[in-house]
Amino acid sequence: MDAADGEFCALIGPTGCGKTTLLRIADLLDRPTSGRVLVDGRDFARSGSSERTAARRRMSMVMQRPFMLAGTVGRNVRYGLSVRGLDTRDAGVSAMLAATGLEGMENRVARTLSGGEMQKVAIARAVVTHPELLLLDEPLNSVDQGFRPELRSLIRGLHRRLGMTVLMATHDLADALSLSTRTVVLSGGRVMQAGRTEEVFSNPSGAFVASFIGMRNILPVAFTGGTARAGDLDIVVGETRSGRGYVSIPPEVITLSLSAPDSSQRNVFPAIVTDVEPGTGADTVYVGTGGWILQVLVTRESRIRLALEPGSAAWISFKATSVRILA
Amino acid sequence: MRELAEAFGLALRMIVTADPVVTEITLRTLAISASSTLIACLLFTPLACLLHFARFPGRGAVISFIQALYSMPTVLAGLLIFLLLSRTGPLGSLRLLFTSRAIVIAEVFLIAPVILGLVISALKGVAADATDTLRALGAGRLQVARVVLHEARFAVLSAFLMGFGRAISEGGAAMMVGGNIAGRTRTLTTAISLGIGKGEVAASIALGIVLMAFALLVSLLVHLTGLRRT
Repeated sequence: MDAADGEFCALIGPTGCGKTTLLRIADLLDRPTSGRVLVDGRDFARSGSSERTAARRRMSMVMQRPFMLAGTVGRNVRYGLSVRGLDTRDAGVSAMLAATGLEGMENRVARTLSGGEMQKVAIARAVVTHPELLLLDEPLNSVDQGFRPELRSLIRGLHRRLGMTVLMATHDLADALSLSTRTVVLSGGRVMQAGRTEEVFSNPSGAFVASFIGMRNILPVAFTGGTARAGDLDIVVGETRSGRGYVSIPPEVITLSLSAPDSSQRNVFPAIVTDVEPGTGADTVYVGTGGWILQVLVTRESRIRLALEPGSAAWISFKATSVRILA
Repeated sequence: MRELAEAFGLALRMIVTADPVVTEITLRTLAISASSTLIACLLFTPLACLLHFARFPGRGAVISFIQALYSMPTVLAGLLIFLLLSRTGPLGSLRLLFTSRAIVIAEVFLIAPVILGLVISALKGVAADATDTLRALGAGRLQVARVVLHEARFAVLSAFLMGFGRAISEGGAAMMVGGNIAGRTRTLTTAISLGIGKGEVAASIALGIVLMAFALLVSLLVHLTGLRRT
C-alpha cells in the first residue's frame, strides 16, 4: 500500500485485522517482528529510542480512547509543542483551539469534558505541531453517534486546510467513504485491496472485500460463457467469462412476486420465504432458492400486500446486468 | 491489674509532660526513619521508573523478586548490614557500626523493596493509554516518566508513607547495627525491648503509645492519599 503526500488514506477491515498494529508500527511505537520501517529511506525498525523519538516528532497520532493530561485544555493542546521545545505561546495554539471548536474552553479542566470534546482536544493536540503524517486510530469510535458528523467535518476541514498526509484506521465504512480519497482493506494482517475509495467501494476485488463493504448475496460460481453456475442456480450474467469466481446480487435489484413474472428479466427462479426482518426503511425478506439463501429488499406495504411470511412460495427475478461480478 | 493501670497512668504523664528521655528517643527515631525514607525514595524511585519502562528479558522475574522481599525479616537485614559494617567487613574502615548512620543504612536496605515494588505498582496503575499518548505526541523517555510519575503521585506518596511506616516500626536491624546505646542509637522499638527486659513497664508503655500514634498517623495518611487518588 502507499499514499501520496497530502492524501487521506483509510485503513478498513474487521476487528483484529491489524489496522491499529500498522498505525503503531508506522508511528514507531511498536517494532515489527520482521521487515523494515523506512522514514525518508532510513530504517527505524531496529534503531534506538532517542532516534525513534526524533522521527516520531515528525508525526502525530490520535488514539482510540483519548487520554487527557491532568490540567486544562490549553495545557493539553500545548503539550506536543512543549516536548519539542517549541514556543507554547504561539498564536497557532489559539487558532487551533478556534479551528477545533474549542474557543473559550482553554481554561476548562480537560478531564471534565464530554467524550466528543475530549476527542476534539486530542485532535487539536495532535495537529497543532503540524505533523507531516497524522495517524488516526478509530477517532470516532468513542464518540456518540449524534456527534460523529461534527467530528468528521472537523477532521475533513483540518485536512483540507493543513494538507498533511493522513492515515486513518476505522471499521466504520461511513467514515472511510466520507473522509478518505484512498482506501486499503486489510484482513489477517494482509492487504486485500488498495485503491481510490470510489474504486474499492464500487469494484471490490474479491468476496472478502465485497462482503466487508456491505455487499450481500455473494455466491461462489463457475463461469461458462454468459452463465454463472452456483450449485443448482444458473445465473445469467451480463458478460462472457470462464473459470471460477464470485458474483453479488444486490438485494435491491431482486424483484419478489407470487407468480413467475412475464418480463425481460433473464434470471427468474422459484423461491420459498424463510424469514422476514423488518427494517426502518424497507424490510429484508430471506428466500431460499437453488440451495442458497438470498436477501431481498421490499417495502413494508409490498410485503403485507403479498402476504410474505416464512413458508410462503414466491418467485424472484433480476436482470443479468444487475449481477456484480467480483474479481 | 492495678499495677498495669498505674503504669499506664505514668506513661500518659510522661507523654503529656514531654519526658526528656521519651522525647529524645522519639526525635531520634523520627530523624533516623525520615532520613532512611528520604534516601530510599531518592535512590529507588528513579530505579522503579527504569524497571517499569524498560523492557528486558527477565523483567517480570526481577519485579516478582522485589515484591517477594517485602517481608524480608528485619534481623536478616540487620545481619547483612552488620557483616558489611563490622570491623572485618568490607566497609569496616568507615567505623559506622553502632551509630545512627548504621541504622539508617539498615533501614534503607529494609525498605528498598517496599519503595521499589510499590512505586512500580503505582506506575503500572497509570493507564497504558497514557504512555502511548505521550510517546505519540513526541515525548521522550524522561518526559514520559515525568508525566506518568505525576499521574501516579498519590499512589507514589502512599508508597513513600508505607516505606516510612516500615522503617519506624522495625527493631531487629536497629538493635543489631545500632547497639541500642542510650543517648546515641536508642530508638522507640529498641527502647521498648530493653524497657520490658528491665521491668521499666511505664516507660515502655509510653514509648509504645508514641509508636502506635505514628503507625496510626501513617495509616491515616495512606488512606487519605488513597481517597485523593480516587
